[in-house]
Amino acid sequence: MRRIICGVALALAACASDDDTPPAARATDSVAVDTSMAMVTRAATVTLGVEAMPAKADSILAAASLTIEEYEALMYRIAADSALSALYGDAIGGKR
Amino acid sequence: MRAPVLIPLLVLGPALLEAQAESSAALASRITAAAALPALAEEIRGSGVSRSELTSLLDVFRTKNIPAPDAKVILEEERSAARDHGPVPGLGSFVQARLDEGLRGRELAAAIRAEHAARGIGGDGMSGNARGKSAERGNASGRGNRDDQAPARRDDERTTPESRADDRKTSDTASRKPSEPGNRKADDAGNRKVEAPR
Repeated sequence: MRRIICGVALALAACASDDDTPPAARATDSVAVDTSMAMVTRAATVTLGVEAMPAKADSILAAASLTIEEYEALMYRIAADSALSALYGDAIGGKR
Repeated sequence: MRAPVLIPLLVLGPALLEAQAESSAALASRITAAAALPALAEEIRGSGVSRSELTSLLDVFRTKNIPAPDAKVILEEERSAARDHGPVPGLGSFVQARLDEGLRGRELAAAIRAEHAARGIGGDGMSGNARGKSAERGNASGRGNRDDQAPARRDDERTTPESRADDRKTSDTASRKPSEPGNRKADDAGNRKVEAPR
C-alpha cells in the first residue's frame, strides 16, 4: 500500500514539475520541434521524390519552393545536427 | 507565317529537350549527393570528429554555397582521414582557409588528407598540438633517457670475451642469495673482477 502511495506521489510530483515550466518556454520548445520537423519533412520529400523520378528534379524542387542552393543549405543544417540526421534517416526509410 | 516559327522549333526542340534532361540529371546528382550528407556526417562523428568541428565545417559549406557533390567528396575524405589519423582540431577554419585560397573538390580533399597526416593522431592518442608539446618535453626528459641508454649499448659493444665471462659470473652470483656465506665471497670476487678493468 505504501509503495502505491509513493508511486502516485512521485507521478504527481513529476506532473507538477512539468506544469512549472513557463508557457513561453513550452511554446518555444514546440516551435523548435515544429521547425525541425518541417525542415526534415521538406528535405525528405525532395530526396524521395528525386530518387523516384530523377528526371523531374527541377519540378520537385519547385514544388517544395526550394532552389538547389536552398535545398543544399537545408541538408547542411540537418547534417550538422545528429538528432535531425536521425529523424531524416528515419523519414527516408534508412536510405542513403 | 506559322512555318518560319515551327521549323526552327522542330529543329531546336530535341536539342532543347536534351539540354533540359542534362540539367535535370545534374540537379538530380546534386540532390543525391546532398541527401547522403546526414548519414556521412553521422559516420564522421562516429570516427571521433567532435560535433562542434563538424558543425563548423558544415557551416562553412553552407555560408560559402559549396555544391553538395564537392562537400560530399570533402566529407568522405575527412571520414577516411579521421579513421586513419584521428581527428584534427580546427578543421572548420582549415577548410575555410583552403576554400578562400580557391581549392575545391579533390584538391581540397587532398589538402585535408595531408593535414591529417601531418597533424592527426598516429595511433599514439595525441593530437598535433599534444604531440608538439610531447616533443618539447622529449627534448628535456625523453631524449635524456635515450642518451642514458645509448652509452650502455656502446659498453655492450665494447665488451671483450673476458669481460663477458666476468659479467656471467656476476649474474650467477647475483642470482644467489647474498645472505649465504659462500655467496658473499663469490660476490666480492665477482665485484673485484668487474671493477678490475676500470
